[in-house]
Amino acid sequence: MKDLGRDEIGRLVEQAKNLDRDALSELCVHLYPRIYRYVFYRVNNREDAEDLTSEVFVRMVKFLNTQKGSFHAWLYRIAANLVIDYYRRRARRKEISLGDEPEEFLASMEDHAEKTLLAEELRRALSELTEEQKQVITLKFVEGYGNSEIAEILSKSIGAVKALQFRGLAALRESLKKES
Amino acid sequence: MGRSLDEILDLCLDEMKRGASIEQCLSLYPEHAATLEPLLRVGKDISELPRVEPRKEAINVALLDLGAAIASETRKRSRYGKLFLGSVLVHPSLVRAVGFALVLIVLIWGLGSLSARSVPGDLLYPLKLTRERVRYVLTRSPEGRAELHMVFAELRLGELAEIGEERGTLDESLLRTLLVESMLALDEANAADEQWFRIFAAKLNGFIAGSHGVLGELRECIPPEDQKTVDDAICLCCKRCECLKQMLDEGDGAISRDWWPECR
Repeated sequence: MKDLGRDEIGRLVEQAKNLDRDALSELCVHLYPRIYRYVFYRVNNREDAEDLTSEVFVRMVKFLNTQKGSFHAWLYRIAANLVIDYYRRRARRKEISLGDEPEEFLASMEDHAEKTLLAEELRRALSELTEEQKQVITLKFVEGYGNSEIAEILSKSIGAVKALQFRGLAALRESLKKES
Repeated sequence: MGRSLDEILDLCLDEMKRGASIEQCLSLYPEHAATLEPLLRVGKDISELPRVEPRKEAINVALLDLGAAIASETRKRSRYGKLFLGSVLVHPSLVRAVGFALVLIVLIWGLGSLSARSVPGDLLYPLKLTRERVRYVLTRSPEGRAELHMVFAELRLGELAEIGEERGTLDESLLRTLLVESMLALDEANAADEQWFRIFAAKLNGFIAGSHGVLGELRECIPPEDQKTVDDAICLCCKRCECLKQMLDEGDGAISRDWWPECR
């Protein structure tokens, strides 16, 4: 799939605000993988990540006419809010079990990629980071966003993003050291 | 003043993104090498992790949900538009301004544009149908024609819902046209290329699924003796959705278009 540039995305968003079916579909097809990965690394479950990602795009249709500023940042904030709601709902149902989360995570990862020892360790360590650290690390190292874009997505300063990046990598390093 | 470690780490990561090796970065900040080195290695390892990719079927499901959301949002916006116009017109001081604006609109867009909102029974409705026919004749590509059939089907659905809501009746010929247009949309799309066809089929499926909801609402507004006709139409919509879903779920290979004729 070709990668859309900033201008192209901007043009599609303008068309999508008038509920242009083609533009909305193109945005969905293009951005689905990124949003999916972002959600997946936070909920650690493929089915839930798929449901939440689909809901992100439904909300995009509902609220796009009120969108201002960076479209990417706006879409990631919808995803972030849905993940927060997801954990609230789970907490209410008392379904969260700290013990089984890494297994669930790894089980669903098996379908996605070759299971190498390092990849496995890294993913396990990644799931142990704080929410903010996890967001910064995945947006930067998995999705390749720059500091200013991440700062916009997370509504933080660039300095705070750099600090989270440092602490996140340090925590990952510690976690990997413990495992080895 | 010296740079903080956060910043030095970030600079090194930037350098690495541009192609520098870990050793080259460390040589720039030898006094921090011991702290930076393991962090840079972890960063490099994460960037080299195999990418998690979503399943194709999940994207298709999202496109279907998207289609249903578009249909619902379109209805909502057209309803709000009418309410807003109604509330503005009850203020006498604004009547003159609105009248003036309407005259301008008539002058700018002409009768053709006004006819776009007409429904069967309105004076301008034949003009609307003529404009549609002209548009169709002027469109040459199968993709464009398929899109037009879907647009026409959406328009008929809107008219059907409006007539049902306002007059409490069912216009059977409109309902028939709606079903035929959505069928023709896929017939035309058959001549298009594989990738476009897949996206279009998903969009059409979203539309048909959305139509199902509108017809369900329409059913509640019309006399009981007409409800059977709407039920049959809903049933056909469900059947077509199922056909399209099977067609789209056929995996990674070339999409089979043979399912569709069974659901016509």
